[in-house]
Amino acid sequence: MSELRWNPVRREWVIMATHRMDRTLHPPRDHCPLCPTVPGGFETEIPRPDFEVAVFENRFPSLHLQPPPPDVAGTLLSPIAPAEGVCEVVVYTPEHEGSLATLPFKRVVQLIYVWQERYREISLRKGIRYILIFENRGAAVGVTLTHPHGQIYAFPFVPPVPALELSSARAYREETGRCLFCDLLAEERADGRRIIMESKGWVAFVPFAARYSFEVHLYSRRCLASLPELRDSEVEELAKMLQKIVGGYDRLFEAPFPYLMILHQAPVQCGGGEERGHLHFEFYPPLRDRDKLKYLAGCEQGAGTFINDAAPEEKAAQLRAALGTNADG
Amino acid sequence: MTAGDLKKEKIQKKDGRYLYLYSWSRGGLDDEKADPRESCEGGQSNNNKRAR
Repeated sequence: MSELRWNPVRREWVIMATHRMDRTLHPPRDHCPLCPTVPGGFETEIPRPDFEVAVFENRFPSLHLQPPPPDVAGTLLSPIAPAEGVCEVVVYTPEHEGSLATLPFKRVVQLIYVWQERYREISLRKGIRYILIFENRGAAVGVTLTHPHGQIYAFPFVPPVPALELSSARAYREETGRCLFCDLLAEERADGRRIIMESKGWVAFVPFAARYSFEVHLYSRRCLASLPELRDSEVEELAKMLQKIVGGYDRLFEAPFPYLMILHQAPVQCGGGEERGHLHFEFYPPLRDRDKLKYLAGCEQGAGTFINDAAPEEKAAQLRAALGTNADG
Repeated sequence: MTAGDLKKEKIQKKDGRYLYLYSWSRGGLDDEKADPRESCEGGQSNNNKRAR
């Protein structure tokens, strides 16, 4: 079964993808599907003995270029739709071990240009409205393959999180004539206590209303809507910032730090006057302390209200220290 | 290196799925790892009001 079912109470689509139950789960290292294919050995997703960055259609996609017809009929109240879209896997390196922090700098620059290229190409496909570029890292967030990689989902609709973000931005712009994200960034910089790192083109900070203890947002200073608008100098700075943030995370507890990294950018095929947002990354790490996971429990899942048991100002200081330790190390 | 230096090769996999291989068109990747700390400043240095 592979289809979209509409929940009229929450006003959201849910993807049914029952084939994903059988996806590859923690394979042994010599059967990693994201490694290069060794001549005479197990054939991986990349049938080459070497590569730099690889992108392929997910073998177990939630959304399909040519979706099958839905298995059941919808109703007027609860419609159903084909699970149309794109699900790609982005393999950062042929090396089985590593992270954004340990990749060669030029590989991270290359990866950002690959993200740009995928955004441009996928945005031209009929029916695509939103492209989500993200990375899940660590078993704590359900990662089934440890080889450094990320994913791209392209949806036939604007999903609830970016839709809410863009709706807030539109309301703010109507009220003030300004960009909500630019004003938030100005406010964070004026306060300064939650800023963890800055460069000419980017600012990283723990947000005022962080939902996770070590949540970090990375904003472009210029009001850009999407990756293709970045200048080459901003791409290089972004690569440095991403490497430094992930390196700092790993320094915190001297162990690979789990996180979700989400790239927020404009919807595609925007109509005239549609709010386009402000390019930024958000990191959601589930750890609230060493060996202590933040669970999304009753209050978060049942009410939609997060409880953060750490002060963002203190966690920003802790992160600055980790980044400083990294810088000195 | 710029976006223009990115080379893309499309491969059709046996099961019909596509695979793209990206590489630098000029010289590829050398082993030099730039120091990601360059030009990134800690949050404390730019604003006198930071950190009570």
